[in-house]
Amino acid sequence: MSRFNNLGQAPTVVASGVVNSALDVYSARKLGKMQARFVRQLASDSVKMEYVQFLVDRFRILCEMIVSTTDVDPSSLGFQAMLKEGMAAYAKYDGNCKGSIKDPTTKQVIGDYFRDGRVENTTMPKETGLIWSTGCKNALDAARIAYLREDKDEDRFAVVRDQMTQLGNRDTLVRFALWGGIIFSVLIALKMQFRVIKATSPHKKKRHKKKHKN
Amino acid sequence: MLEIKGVGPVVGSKGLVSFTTIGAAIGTVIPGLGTLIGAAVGSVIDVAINWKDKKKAKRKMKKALQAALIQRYHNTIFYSALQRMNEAMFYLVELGLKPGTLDYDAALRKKLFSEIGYEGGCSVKLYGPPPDRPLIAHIDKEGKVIASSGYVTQDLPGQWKQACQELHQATLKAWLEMQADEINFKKELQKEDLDAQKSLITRVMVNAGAIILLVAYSKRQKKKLKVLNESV
Repeated sequence: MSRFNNLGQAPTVVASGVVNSALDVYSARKLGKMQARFVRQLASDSVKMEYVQFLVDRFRILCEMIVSTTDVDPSSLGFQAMLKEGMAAYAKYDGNCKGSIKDPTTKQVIGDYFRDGRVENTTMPKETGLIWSTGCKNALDAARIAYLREDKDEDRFAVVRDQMTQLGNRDTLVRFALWGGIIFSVLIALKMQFRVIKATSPHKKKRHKKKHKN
Repeated sequence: MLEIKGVGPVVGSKGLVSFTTIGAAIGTVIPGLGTLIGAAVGSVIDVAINWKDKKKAKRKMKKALQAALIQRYHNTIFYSALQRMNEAMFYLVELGLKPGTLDYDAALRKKLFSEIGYEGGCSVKLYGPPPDRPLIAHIDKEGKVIASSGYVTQDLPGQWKQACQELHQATLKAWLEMQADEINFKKELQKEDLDAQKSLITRVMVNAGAIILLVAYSKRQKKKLKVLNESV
């Protein structure tokens, strides 16, 4: 009887084994696919983040360029307008770190980025919002630093120029006075010398004698 | 479910005894058909439990992957805050504020409070961007982590204070270099002035010497002339 019992159990053991194995394989494949999709997403996110970082770098260079080639204050509206123009090929920059980034190939807007790190209307990863906002604010601060340094350099240059002018003026005055003194004393010396020569010349002595005889 | 440590579950499709076996054993009450039915019911339970486990594993993995993405986001917020702090600190130094002073810390707080939640004295209440504004970490002045999102990498909040202090040291160094540069500039100006003065004095001395010589010569000639006139 127990032999029959075992026989009765066998098909169900086999069937459940087959079903469970199939389930294992199916589940493993699903998990594998999920993992692969995740890895693909990470890679794609990484490319997108690198692109936004590239834009931030470009933005920073543009800021530095404007500061070094113009006198525009980085806190002014004029500076923002110049940035708007400079970034036009890559993004529709609205000023104050707000803008819409364009796809590098299709030139279509791929996301709206805000100063506070928000990112809207996009398939880009959320991190790109942080990369943009931090990079943008840092670039503007770096521009302000460069502007202050340039301002300081200009102030120093003015101080040096003033000092040089002052020293130059003093030098000219002293030179003039000294040369005046030298010329005057040379003239006096020459005058005295001529008088002495005149007094000691024999012709003069003869005339003197004649005068005394008469 | 009952489980032996290091061995695994006692009952279940992956356990020591499967439900198919238990069902078959119970089914032996009615020999033959009973075993078959019992084993069949048990195997259905085994498959169902296995399916449930797989679903659970899938859900767990999905959650882990999502958590990894959230962690990446929260870590980025953390690093962004430090990057932002770095540039802002150097900007304040450029404005002439000395790092480590109360004025400097107050200015830094004013600049960064709305941006990253900097509360002064290296204390921070770090939030993510709106609209959800998740709390990433709340760290007090002693560097103690009061609250954390739980997603940010575990040892990161603990390193905030050290990073903040290092930034302060770097900015202080920059400030000292700036002061040294200013002193050097002033010294150079003074040196230039002193050099010009020295050269002026030398010129005056030399020229004055020449003038004195010429005047002395003129006086001598005048005397000579007087003597000559008297002798005649």
